Amino acid sequence: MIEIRPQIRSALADSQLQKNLRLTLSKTAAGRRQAIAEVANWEELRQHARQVKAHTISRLGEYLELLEKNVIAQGGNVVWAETGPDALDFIFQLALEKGIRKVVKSKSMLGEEIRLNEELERNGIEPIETDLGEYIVQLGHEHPSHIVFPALHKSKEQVSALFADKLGMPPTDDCEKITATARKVLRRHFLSARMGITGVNFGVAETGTIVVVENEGNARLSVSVPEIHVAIMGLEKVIPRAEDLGVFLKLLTRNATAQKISTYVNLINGKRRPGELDGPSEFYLVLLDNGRTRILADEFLRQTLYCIRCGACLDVCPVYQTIGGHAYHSTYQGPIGAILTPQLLSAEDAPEHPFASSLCGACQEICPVKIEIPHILLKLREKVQDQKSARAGRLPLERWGLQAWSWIMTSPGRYATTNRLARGFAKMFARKGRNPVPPLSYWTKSRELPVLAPKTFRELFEEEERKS
Amino acid sequence: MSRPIILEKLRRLHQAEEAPSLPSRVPDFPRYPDPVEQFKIELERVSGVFLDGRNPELVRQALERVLNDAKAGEIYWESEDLFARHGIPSQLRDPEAFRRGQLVSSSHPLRQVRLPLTLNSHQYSRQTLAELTVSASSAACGIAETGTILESTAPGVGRLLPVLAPIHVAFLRRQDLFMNAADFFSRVSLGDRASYQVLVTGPSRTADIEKTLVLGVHGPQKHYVILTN
Amino acid sequence: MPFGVDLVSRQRQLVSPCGPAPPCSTVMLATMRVSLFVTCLIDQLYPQVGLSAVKVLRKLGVSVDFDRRQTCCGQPAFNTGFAEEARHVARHMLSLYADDDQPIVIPSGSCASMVKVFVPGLFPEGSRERATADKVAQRTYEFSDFIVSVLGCERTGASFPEAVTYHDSCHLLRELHISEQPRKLIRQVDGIDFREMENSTRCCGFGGTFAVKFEDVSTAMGEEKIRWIQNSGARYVIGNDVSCLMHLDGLLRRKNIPVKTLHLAELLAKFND
Repeated sequence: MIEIRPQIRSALADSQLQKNLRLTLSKTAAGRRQAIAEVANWEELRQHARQVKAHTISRLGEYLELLEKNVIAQGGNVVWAETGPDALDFIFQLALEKGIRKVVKSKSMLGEEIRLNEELERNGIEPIETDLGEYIVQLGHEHPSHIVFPALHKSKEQVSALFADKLGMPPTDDCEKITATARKVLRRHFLSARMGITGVNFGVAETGTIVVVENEGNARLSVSVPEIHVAIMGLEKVIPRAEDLGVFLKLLTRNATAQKISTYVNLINGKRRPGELDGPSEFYLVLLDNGRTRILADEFLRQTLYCIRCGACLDVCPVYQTIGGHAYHSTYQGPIGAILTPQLLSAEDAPEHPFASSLCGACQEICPVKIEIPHILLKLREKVQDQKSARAGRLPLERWGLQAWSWIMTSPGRYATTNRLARGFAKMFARKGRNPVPPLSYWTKSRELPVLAPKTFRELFEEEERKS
Repeated sequence: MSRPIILEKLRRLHQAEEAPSLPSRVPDFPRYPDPVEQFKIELERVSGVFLDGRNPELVRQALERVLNDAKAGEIYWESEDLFARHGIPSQLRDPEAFRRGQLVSSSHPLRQVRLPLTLNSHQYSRQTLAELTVSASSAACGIAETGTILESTAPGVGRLLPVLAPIHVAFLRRQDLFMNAADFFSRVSLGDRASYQVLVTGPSRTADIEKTLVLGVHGPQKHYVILTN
Repeated sequence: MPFGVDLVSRQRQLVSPCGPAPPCSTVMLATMRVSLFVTCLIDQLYPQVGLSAVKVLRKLGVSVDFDRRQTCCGQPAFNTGFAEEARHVARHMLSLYADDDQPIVIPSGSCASMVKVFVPGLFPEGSRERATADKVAQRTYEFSDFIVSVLGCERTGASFPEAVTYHDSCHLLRELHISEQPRKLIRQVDGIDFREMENSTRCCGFGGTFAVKFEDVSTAMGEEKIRWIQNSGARYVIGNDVSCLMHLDGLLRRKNIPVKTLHLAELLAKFND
């Protein structure tokens, strides 16, 4: 079971993290608003994207088969993997067969999901993260804290210190110098690696195209220099046609980074063709399930899979803004993490995620494919509570409490009686400051209690009625 | 092993349902009265450099500017086809003529410049490719809406040349400029001929450190587009 | 839709536009009756808010019925993941209103959202209970929305010469899409100095059980909100939900910050009689 409260506590106490979060998240907020305001038919685009995803998800098998057919027709290979270990086994086998000792990687959340880097290392293969944010995180032996900006939690001083320590770079607070160091170091790796592993933003079924979106050029290099390109893709990333790419890219980039389009949109159709001067001589597309077919089974919850990983929900979430990404203690953070984690794993494994939200709805408002995140969180809360009851055999205390409460609330008489009793007790607890009795203790740690009015509204209303 | 299991799960899920339909048309994308002007504005907004190349003299000036900016003496060209496609004059292709100053005044520093003009990447080792300063290629097309060009592989053309050099020049024909991304994606046929295409918009960049923008990460740091007729 | 079209057009026939000078005339609206669903929080902890709501509605010529059998809308159980228990309570609430067709006015964004958005979904589609829930949802209005969109009124004749700011509570804003109505009403209070705070739409951190289950995050979010309130220079923060106000007020008092919370109904009831 993933416990997040300890992580949350330390995130709140980490003043450097708090400072970093405040600084970086405010930077793109205005840019994003501007980028969205510029698009007159933004709502139409969102609806279109959602509809494309809804259609695709309900015909997923057909489109995956079509994608496979087209990839194979271009001389590529398609490997289906039900679980993370299935995907990893394939990659290790391939690497073993080809004598691969080093792999350059461009950003892939799916890779994080299946712990690709750890497993590669365990098998004696060196993975080199080439996206700057991922590289920083890798050097620091950490996990990414944001879907789009993996090193969001670090200040530039912290990055400089890390580079000074691990790469011998002279300390500097000049981001350009830090980036130049990374470019130099990673260039050497690019030119000597024989396998590149990338993620996939969209897999276009009708053309067999793998789309990889980026700004740095590390994906471009990862699919151009090495002799083998392996692309790992979640089942839900397939889309039927190329003509919808304009819509998806517009939504994705404006939401993710407030840009009109990413610097590089790689449109990959397999290995090099005869006559082409360079490029990989082998291409493998790994299609990974890892629990997605289970999510598909629920008609309401399956919209979780519409996500195009723009990361905007993280940026606008007041909870994420307060605790950062690592506090979620899972591959995916923020609102999408809160709904995806308990579904990829199970409600039992991640029972706290659905509750770590005030249900404010800012995420749903910004989501390019209109995922109903707060409503999903409520459904997941139900699942957690139902599983708790089922597992415990007897009624958990919380459920018993709410059942008693609902029993009281379904009768005006019981409600009135409970009121009178509560008022009696309340006088005992009506003092300022902290109160040791839970749940009052949780409230009063930082807040004063509301003052219990001497008479209820209905008593006062009735008095007034009697007077007139 | 996994393939039949996954496909079977998916088949069982989809049996009872009616799929929501695929929308029949793509929403409108912006159109511009002057697409070239739009292209220029957007390219410059992302720190790309727009150069007019509508006649040979302007092309020469553009290349002169690139070499000056780069403090370089060589441009590595993608292929011979580039010249015919963009109407680049034969004088520019002839190192001797260039050296004799036929295009530049005799006192011009470029007179000292060597301009190997038909360098194909396969003639050179990875090391050379890794060390070259300026590369030039022909863009298959462009998108006015975002100042974007499309680089594409082809017989005689690879993936590496346009991305390795820190300074890249792309030639784009006016007639190949699409109005917007929707037009582009509805008309382009992905995967028909090329194994690899990439939409390029400005120089490489990152904001991974404190969301501070830095240009020139792994891809080119300077990005020029010369618009020819 | 947050309001029924028929009702609005009917009212618009009866009412002359409320200009800047006189408050809405009582004579023309004498025929309207509404049911007040006062919410358990207001009943228990903030009865003045309920009394103010009644006072304002009466001033605008609306008769207010209060069904004494009412208790709660079921949101606390629903919010915590106990749909079954929420259903029981919602059923009781619906039974109060199933047999008439009077508009129901609720001085709370989150309770109005519960009734309008979430309660119908608790019952299976096609069932009789679902049909009842849908009908009740249609006739339910949040307090400020009722005054502005149904009564067509933006001025109640209240006067409050203070610097105030407004907090957009989440359900009100994002489930009911209500943000202009409260502002219109605030602006027309005599003497008011209305300052918009930055990030007025950012969650205050209450979130129901979240306030207790994740009290440290809830508090941090509330503190952030208070910073923006203080930056605005306002001495009062107005809101449509006592849940948000209770949370902010608790923090403000613990920190001895001289800003007070005020429900919109209380503000609009400040008549100089």
